[in-house]
Amino acid sequence: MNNALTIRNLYGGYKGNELFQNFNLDVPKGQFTALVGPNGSGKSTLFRMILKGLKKKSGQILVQGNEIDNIRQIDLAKLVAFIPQYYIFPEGFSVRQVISMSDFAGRTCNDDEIDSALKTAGIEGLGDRMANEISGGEAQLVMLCRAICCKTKLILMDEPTSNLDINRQSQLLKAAKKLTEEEGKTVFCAIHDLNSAMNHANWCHVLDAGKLYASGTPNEVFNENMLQDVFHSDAQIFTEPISGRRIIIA
Amino acid sequence: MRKTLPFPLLIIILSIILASLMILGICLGSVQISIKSVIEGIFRTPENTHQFIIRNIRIPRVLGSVLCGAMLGVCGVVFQAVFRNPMADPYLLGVSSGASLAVALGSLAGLSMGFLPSIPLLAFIGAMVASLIVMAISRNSQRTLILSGVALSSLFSALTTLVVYLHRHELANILFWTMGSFSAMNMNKVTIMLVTAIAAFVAIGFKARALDLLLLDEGSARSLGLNVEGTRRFMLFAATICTAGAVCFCGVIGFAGLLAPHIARLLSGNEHKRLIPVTALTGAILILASDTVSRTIMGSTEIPVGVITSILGAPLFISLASGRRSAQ
Repeated sequence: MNNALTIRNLYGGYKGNELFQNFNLDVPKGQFTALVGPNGSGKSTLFRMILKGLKKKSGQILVQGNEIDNIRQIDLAKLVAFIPQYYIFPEGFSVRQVISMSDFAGRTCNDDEIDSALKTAGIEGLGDRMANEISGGEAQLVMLCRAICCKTKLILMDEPTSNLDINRQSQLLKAAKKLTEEEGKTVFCAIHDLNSAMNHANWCHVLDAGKLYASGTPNEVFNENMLQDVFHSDAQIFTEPISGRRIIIA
Repeated sequence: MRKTLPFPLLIIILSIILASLMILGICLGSVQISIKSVIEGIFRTPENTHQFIIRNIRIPRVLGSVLCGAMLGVCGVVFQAVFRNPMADPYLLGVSSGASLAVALGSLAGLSMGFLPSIPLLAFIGAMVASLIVMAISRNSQRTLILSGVALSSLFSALTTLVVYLHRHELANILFWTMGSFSAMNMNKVTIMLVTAIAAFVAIGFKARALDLLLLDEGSARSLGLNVEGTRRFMLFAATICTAGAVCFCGVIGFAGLLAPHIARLLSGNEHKRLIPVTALTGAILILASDTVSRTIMGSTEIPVGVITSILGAPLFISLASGRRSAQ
C-alpha cells in the first residue's frame, strides 16, 4: 500500500450543503502533497471529516489503511497529526507544555524530543516562553513541533502559512518538507499560496467545489487553464530564468 | 515563563498549613480548648466535656469544611475547563443553588427525614438539572454563560428562600443553605462527603490531561486523540456529583470554586495534573480558615461562612470580569 491516505466514494459535508459526492483521493506516502482550491472548495471540510470532527455520510476514508469509522479517536490520533487553521493556546501554558500535550494518546513526549522538534522547526530557545505570548509565526511553528512530537507518519496542515510573513512561510514549509525527505513522513497540506504549493509540493490536488479537478506533480497541474477554471483568475505563469522556478502572477 | 515552587515542596508547604489550621480550628471556638486536650481528644475515648466537643462537634466541623473546600475548588477547576471560562464556578453557574433547591423541596415533601443518603441524592438531582441547563446554554452562547449562570443561581436561590420562608417552622434547620454553614456537621455526613470526594477526585485526577486538552480548540483536541464531547459530559457529571456532595450538608458557599483555583493557578501553573491537587489543598485551607473566622470573629455568635467567602470572592470576580473585558 503506497498511500498514507485513501478516500473512496466519499459522500458528506455540512448539513444542507453536502459538498462531497462520490469523491476519491490518494495521498502518496513520504511526499509533501498540497491541496489547493478556492475558498469554500471543501478543504477544511475534508480535513474535518478525516479527523472525525464531521461525520461522513458514506464511503471510505483510510488512514494508513485503517477505515476511520472502525477506530477510536484516540487510535486515529496515533496515525495522523493535525495543524488546524485556527487554534488556541490556553493561558498559563509554556510552549513546552503546549507541545507536551502530544502525549495524550498514550505516547511519551520528553524534554529531549521537544528540544529536537524545536530545533527542526528552527525555534530553539522558545520552549520556556508562555505560549499565548509568542507571535503568530512562532505559534505556527510551535504547532508544527507538536505535530512532530505526535510521532505520526502522516501530518495534516490546514492553511499553515496564511498568517505568516514571507520568511516564516518558507521556514515552515521547508521544515515540513524536510520531515518528508529525512524522516519519511507524509505531509498533506491545504494551502492558499499557489506559489508556495508549486515550489514546495511533490504532489498536488486541485479541489473545486468538492470535486477533484486535477491531481499530479505541480508542473502538471499548474497551468493557466486550471487557474481560469478553478480560481476564475486570469493569472499567468512565468518561469524565472535563473532558478527555473515557476511563478504565478495575478 | 513564570517561576513556581517545585511541586512536591508546594504540596508539603500547603499540607503543613492545612494541618496547622485544622488543629487551630479544633482549638478555637466558643469554648477554647488547649492543644494538649485536642491531641488527647483525638486519640482517647471521650471522658470530659472538652473531649466530647472535640470528637462530636469540632472534628466533624473541621473535616467537613476541609472536604467541602477541596470539593468546591476542584469542581471550579473542572467547570472552568469544561466551559473554557475562567469565571466558571459551581456557585456562579447555579449548580450549587440547584442542589440546595432540590434538597429544600425534598425536605418539604418529607423525603429526607430520617434517611441520610436521600439528601445527597436530592442534591445530585438538583445539581444535575442545573448543569444540564447550563450545558444547553453554553451550546448556544458561550459568551453569556456566566451571566445566564448567575441568573439561574439567583432564581434557584430565590425559590429556595421562598420555600424555606413559607415553611420556616418545618424547615428552620435548613435555613443555613442560603449562605452555607458547617454547624450541623457530624461524622456520618463527613463519611458521605469523603466517599463522594474520593470517587470524584479519582475520576477527575486520572483524566487531568484530558482537562488540559479541553482548553484547546476542538480541532486540536480531537486530533490529539480526545473525545471532546464525551470528555465534557464525563467531567460535567463528575463535577456535578462533587458539587452536590459538598452542597448537600454545607449549603451554598459562594465563590469557593472561583477563589481556590485562581490562587492555585498562581502557585502551580495551569497544567491540571498539578493544578488539581494544589486547588484541593488551597480550597480546603480557604474554607477551613473562613469557617474558623466565621465562628470566632463575633465571639459566640456565628456568621455564615458564605459571607466570608463572598467578601473575598466578589472582588476577584469583578477583577476577572473587567480583565476579560479589557482583553477583548
